[in-house]
Amino acid sequence: MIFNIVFGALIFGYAGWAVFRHIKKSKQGKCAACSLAKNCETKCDSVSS
Amino acid sequence: MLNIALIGNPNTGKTSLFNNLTGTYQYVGNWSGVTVEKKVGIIKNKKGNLIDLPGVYSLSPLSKDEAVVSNFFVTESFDGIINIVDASQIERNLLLTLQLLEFEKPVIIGMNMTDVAKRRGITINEQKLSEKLGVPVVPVIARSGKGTATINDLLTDDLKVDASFTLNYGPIIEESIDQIIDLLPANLSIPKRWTSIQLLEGNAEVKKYIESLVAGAGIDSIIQATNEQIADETAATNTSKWIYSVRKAFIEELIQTSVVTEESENKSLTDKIDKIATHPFLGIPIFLATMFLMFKLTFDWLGIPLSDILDGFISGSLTTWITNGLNTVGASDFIKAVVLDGIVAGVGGVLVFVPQIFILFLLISFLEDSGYMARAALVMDRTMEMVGLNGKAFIPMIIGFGCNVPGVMAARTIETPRERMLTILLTPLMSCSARLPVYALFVGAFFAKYQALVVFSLYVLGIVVALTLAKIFSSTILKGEFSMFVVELPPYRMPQGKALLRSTWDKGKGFIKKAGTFIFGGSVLIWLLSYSGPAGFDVPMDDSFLAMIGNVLAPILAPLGFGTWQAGASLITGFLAKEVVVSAMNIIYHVPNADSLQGLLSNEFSALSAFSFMVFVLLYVPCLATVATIRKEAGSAKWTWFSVGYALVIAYVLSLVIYQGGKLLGY
Amino acid sequence: MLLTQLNKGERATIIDLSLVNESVRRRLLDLGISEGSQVCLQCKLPFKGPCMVENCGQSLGIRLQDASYIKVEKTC
Repeated sequence: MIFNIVFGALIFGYAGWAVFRHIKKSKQGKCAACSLAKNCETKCDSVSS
Repeated sequence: MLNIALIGNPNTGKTSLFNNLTGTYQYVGNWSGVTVEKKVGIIKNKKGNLIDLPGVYSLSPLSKDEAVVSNFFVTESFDGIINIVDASQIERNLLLTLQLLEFEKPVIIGMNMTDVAKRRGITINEQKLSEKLGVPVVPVIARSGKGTATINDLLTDDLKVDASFTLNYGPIIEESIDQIIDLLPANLSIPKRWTSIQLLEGNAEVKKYIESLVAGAGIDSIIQATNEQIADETAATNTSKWIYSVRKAFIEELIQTSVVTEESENKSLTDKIDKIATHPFLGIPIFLATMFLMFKLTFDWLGIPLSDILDGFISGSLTTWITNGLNTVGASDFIKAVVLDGIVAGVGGVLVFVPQIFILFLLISFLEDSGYMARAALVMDRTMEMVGLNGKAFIPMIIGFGCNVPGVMAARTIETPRERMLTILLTPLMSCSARLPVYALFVGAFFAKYQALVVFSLYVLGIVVALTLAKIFSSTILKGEFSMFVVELPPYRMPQGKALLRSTWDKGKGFIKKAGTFIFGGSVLIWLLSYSGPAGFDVPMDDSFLAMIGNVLAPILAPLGFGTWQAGASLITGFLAKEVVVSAMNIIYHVPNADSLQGLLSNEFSALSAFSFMVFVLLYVPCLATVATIRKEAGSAKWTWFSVGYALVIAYVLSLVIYQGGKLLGY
Repeated sequence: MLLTQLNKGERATIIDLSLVNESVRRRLLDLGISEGSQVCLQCKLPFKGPCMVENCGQSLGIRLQDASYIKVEKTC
């Protein structure tokens, strides 16, 4: 029983976090499937006039 | 901590050197404009940060990626510069070097591609060059990493500052420089002489920066007066030409003393390949044939057999293991359902298509590395010109086949704002790798014999729609006369196996990471929505929340041939990431593997409605990440909404025409 | 004569760039092409497509329209 609760919480917790993080990152224009790694400092505001 | 900037002409191997100096991996390719953004990495010797910048020919920008560099120079502080120089094109590379030396920061010159130069009969005496310029010159081979150790050793805490380099531009210019220096703010963070020269040359970014600091037309009038004086008293017609000719004369003298050139007139491999690749009549057919071959390989020859094996494993052994494991620990039915029907179905359903995606990425990497990209731009230019674009816009589109986000960013290399905007708006129509699983699923079920052909037709459809819309937009809302096209054609290079695998893995790992994070999460949530309904948990799926959501869309989609809540619900999830469409379908149809899903789909769809569905998925709306990138790159909310809106309209209309037209024709 | 009047494979020296559009000229200068540069017309694409020009071992593509504003002098 305890296993079920813990395991269930783990799955849903992780799922919620993953979706939340994906949306947050996507909104910054970062795409997991693309080559712009984490050390890309997108400062697009400075170049789009 | 040191901050070292890596600067050089486009396509000289800056990013290769960056990767070797920092031990990281950044995207490299064989065309001008691979890097369009500033990237920071930590140097292996832990002495500081290395900053990779887009390639530039001079510090006066023409396009947005070049503006990134000029902007970096005026607004950010850094301690030194590594200037990478292409030995085979040393003359024009040194034009930039002179501007860097004038910036009065320590400079290290990395002399790259000496092997190419040697083959062309050019031998460079690094020692002499170093003496003449007063900075260290290190021969490197950026691709293999040779010479990086020497550069590493030079990057010590006390970088030698030898700011003595000055080039005399003649009495007229020197006087103007002095006058401008007097007008510049005393606490200016950038060297005053450099600033004055850049202003005289007409560097728009520097001008913008200075104008934000000091008001008044004093500097402007000096620049103007100098211009007139140069035109009157010298052979040059304006200041920038004069400055250019002074630099060029200096370089010529430099080269005479430190470079030995022998005539060598042997035809290189590049010339031979170019004869075919840019052949007057075969050019475009060759491009299309290359693409078709890509899909043959991705689907028929390699991809499908591999993904069948993977599918067998996931739906067979893996599912059995998980079921047994869950039974042993005494998991409840609810947990079993979320794991097997949600996660395994959703994530597994997408992972099955990893082979196809990797093969596609491998082929794209090959194109990028070989030097074909610039040729494709050249071959396409005439067609692109007719629709109001230029050939360079084709490069972002090809990159978009991998992922639309870097594609949209690559549009920065396009010089004219109007064409850049058009490219940004149209790149999302290129079928990115995330859409591939959707096609793979449907062509497997409905077009088993013609898989490659059908997918190829979708990619071509994307291009055709983009070109048609380009024509429409450029003759209505984005009118403008001016268009320019000058493209550098790099020599062909045989991509190295290791670099190729590296680049493929780098593109593909994002896909796998996504499967473990977002697709996992999305699958669980979609499953939960399908498991629960107004009546509670474990409801029949037709009464679930998911069905309710899908039912809102179903009537609207009915004329397109897929008016079911299942199709509606999966399309909505696709806005977050297109692969999830496949996950959602796996969960909704509640089947153990891709084979049986394909069997089930054939009851719900006909071949015609399946094609209509694929066309809709191809065009309907850019994913969230792409929309956000468009917002940033276009710098306008209006255009962002426009890009979403027109995509929806065009997807609906085309699917409608295809489905209804097909029905009339009796399919 | 004009750059576009060269035959495939012919070499020439550029004598005048002043009629070329400002931005295009800037790019050509960036690529090391100015008055006095040696160029070779490598090929012209059909339907008034762009042409490929070589200078010091560096190939580049420019539009026929732009090339037709470049005045050259045949070297041999």
